[in-house]
Amino acid sequence: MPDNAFDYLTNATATAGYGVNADEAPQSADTIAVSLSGTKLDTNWLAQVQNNGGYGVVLLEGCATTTQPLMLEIWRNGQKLGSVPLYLSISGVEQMYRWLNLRDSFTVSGETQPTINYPTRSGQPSNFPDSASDGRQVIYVHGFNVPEQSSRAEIAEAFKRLYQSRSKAMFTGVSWYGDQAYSGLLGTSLDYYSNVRNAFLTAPALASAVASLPGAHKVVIAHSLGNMVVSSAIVDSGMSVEKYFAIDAAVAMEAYDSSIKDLGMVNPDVGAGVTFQGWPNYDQRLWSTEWYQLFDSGDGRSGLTWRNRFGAIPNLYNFYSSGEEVLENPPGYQQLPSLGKEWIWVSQEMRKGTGLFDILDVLHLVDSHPEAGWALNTDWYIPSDPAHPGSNLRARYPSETNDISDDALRADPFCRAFNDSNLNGAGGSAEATNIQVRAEMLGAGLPALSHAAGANSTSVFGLENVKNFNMSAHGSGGTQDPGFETGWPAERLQDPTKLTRWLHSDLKDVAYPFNHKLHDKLVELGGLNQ
Amino acid sequence: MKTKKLFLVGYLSILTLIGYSQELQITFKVINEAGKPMPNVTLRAATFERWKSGEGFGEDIYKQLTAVTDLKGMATIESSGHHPDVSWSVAPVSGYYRGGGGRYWFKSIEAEKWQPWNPMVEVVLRPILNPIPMYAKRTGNLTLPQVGKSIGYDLMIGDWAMPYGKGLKSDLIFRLERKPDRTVKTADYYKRDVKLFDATLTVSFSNPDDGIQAISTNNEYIGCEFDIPRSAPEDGYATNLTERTYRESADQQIVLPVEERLGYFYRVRAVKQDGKIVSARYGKMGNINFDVINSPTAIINFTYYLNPEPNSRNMEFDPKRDLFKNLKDSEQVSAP
Repeated sequence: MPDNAFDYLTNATATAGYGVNADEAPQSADTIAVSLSGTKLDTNWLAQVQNNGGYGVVLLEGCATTTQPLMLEIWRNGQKLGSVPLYLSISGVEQMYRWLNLRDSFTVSGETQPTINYPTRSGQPSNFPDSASDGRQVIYVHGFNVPEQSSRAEIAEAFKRLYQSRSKAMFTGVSWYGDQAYSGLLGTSLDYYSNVRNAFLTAPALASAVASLPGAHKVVIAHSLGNMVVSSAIVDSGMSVEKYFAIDAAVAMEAYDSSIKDLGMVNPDVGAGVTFQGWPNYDQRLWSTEWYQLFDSGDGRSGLTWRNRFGAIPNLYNFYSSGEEVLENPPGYQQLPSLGKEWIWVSQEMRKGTGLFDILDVLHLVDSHPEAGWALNTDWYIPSDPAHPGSNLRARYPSETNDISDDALRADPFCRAFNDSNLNGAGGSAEATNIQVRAEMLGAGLPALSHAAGANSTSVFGLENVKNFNMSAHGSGGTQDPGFETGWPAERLQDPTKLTRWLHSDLKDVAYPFNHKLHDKLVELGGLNQ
Repeated sequence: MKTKKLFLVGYLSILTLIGYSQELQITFKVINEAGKPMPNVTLRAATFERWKSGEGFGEDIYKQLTAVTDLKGMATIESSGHHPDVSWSVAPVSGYYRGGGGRYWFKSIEAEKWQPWNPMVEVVLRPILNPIPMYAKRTGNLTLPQVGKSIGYDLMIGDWAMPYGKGLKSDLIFRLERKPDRTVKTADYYKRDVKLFDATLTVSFSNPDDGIQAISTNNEYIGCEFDIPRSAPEDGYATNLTERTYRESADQQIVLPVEERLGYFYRVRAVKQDGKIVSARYGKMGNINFDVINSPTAIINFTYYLNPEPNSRNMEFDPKRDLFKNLKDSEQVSAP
């Protein structure tokens, strides 16, 4: 078979070379209906095959399941001279891979588990048996806000793209409950925090399920918040994979390297109307991000932090984008981004505990309840007129916090109170090791003080093009070399908000001809085409 | 019904939180490299209008605007926006490199208008003048064969010099010194392993008049497809480049080589007679990335362009005429 037989998949810019006269672009080349009695191949096309050393490609689309062979028949003067069968088994793409539905893999008291419409299929796929693979197993985990039905589509697309990049590995798609509080009216979930928690709660089940999958070499690919699931599964539940490709990871960099700390992520405004000075002026020991430091390292509460939550996962490859919009670094130092899709990851970190989430909570748009974060604990308010203890209460000025002891902060944090008051008591250490408690704290209450790994090179894994890959400028090293894209759709280049940026979901939202290099790279690094 | 109403109220509340739309005006002046105004150039701009809910993180909807420059090369965009910024770009102009694009940030609101009112943004478009064939390559990840030893790299062959590769000349000479690694545990609750290392990479040359110099990020072409000076400098080359990366404790961030530059110009195969360089080849390269975390020596990668014509300092590359043939897809360079 010629090397370029699959060029039609990647040739985004060709204007000719396809169709019966080889004068059309691949996406608009002639399509010919084939009837039950077959169709005669175009003589022009056959002549070109003859002139091309006997090579030509016919792309056929199946519209129904069948195991009947495709027959190529040779006729002359009304007589069939011979025929060649191509044995086929055509069925839905989901018959080519496994499907792990972990949406109901955990329970939370007081919450309803999601309904499962598409149960796990862990058996051998009927139309891509394990014996047809190279013995490797690749597992794909989607991100935030992907309902069950949509996850089927995303996973099918992920499989097809890897397959088109010549992966011969077994494939397993993972659907998890990352869309809690999904509103059919809004067509979305506004509850990122509950779904961060769910990511942690899904991790043990993922680790267990992956251990049961066949394949001597396992590679996991995760998108966005799916990286919280996978990172936790590896670190907390011992999930064993040979390589881990983190794409657009919606995880704070400090979770992988505790030395990374960026005070630009401190919310500057909350409290400003009350204290006139805002959070940056308060001693850091009063911040929710530092509460864990009040405890020694043997106390479970000292684990209530993003710092080192996962550590430097040795086999992690960070596919980030300097052109991110969702995970984009904040627009300025201690500058709260405007609300919208752009900067939304930074925005939710910098707004933890604040009034915005009270509104969402009151309106029942989210299941999570705000706590800690960048809000003040009214327990520490003092009378506005010290001479009159009954006067209105106000927040303390920074200078009025010096006499608050560490013991007092352990019992009652200066930031907004935790929803779980047991954390402040004698059993707080044990309480903090409860997976759900810790996950809820991390999700809703503890802001990151670092940017997202999915928007930045995170050097603890290794340096550029070794373990960090900038999808917006792969290998550029300062020149204007493009990233993994092969051009972009024309309409994108006309939109000044997009241009050549590799956006958060371009892995799946942009057609394969434009982003196939990323999939090629995953296949190459994962050794999926052995 | 009550729930639906709540949703609606919530939705409207969120929209309200996004902010009120303010008027804005911004003017672009498009000039060519010689400073002359360029008429009939289309400017595109976008201002944030609203957030639309949907899967993932929903979608930001922008008001898309265009304006065409007049005889003075000026084009003014008038609009309104909820956010204090306007994204802009220049539509492709035949015969010119893809122009700049970016985002302008307003500073404040006065009288329901974003301020400063009608700021001027100057855009320089660069003509495609003389793109030439070059040896251009992304090296991919090269494992440095040894520590503490000078190892050459042949830029025209695209490989380590013999005996480590097929290269015949040591255009660049890499030498890595590194202290023994250590692994320590963090003192925190999680007790994670942290690798401590200290490595210094020196890049030097075979000939005394070969050398390297950084390309400044401070130039007017940033954002342009071709973003560096057209010619490599005649002078100012250093005989070596030293980069160090290290981590001394678990609490310390990894110290990376300085990366705030566009890359480097370099000169190799320089021959001097009577105090003057009579022959040399010039080129440009991106940052030299070297990773010591995943290798007992170092993994090195960089992208380089070498003008094959002796003494020509032209740095304008024609991506369709790479002198390397049969490069892998991942090794090919497509930028000028």
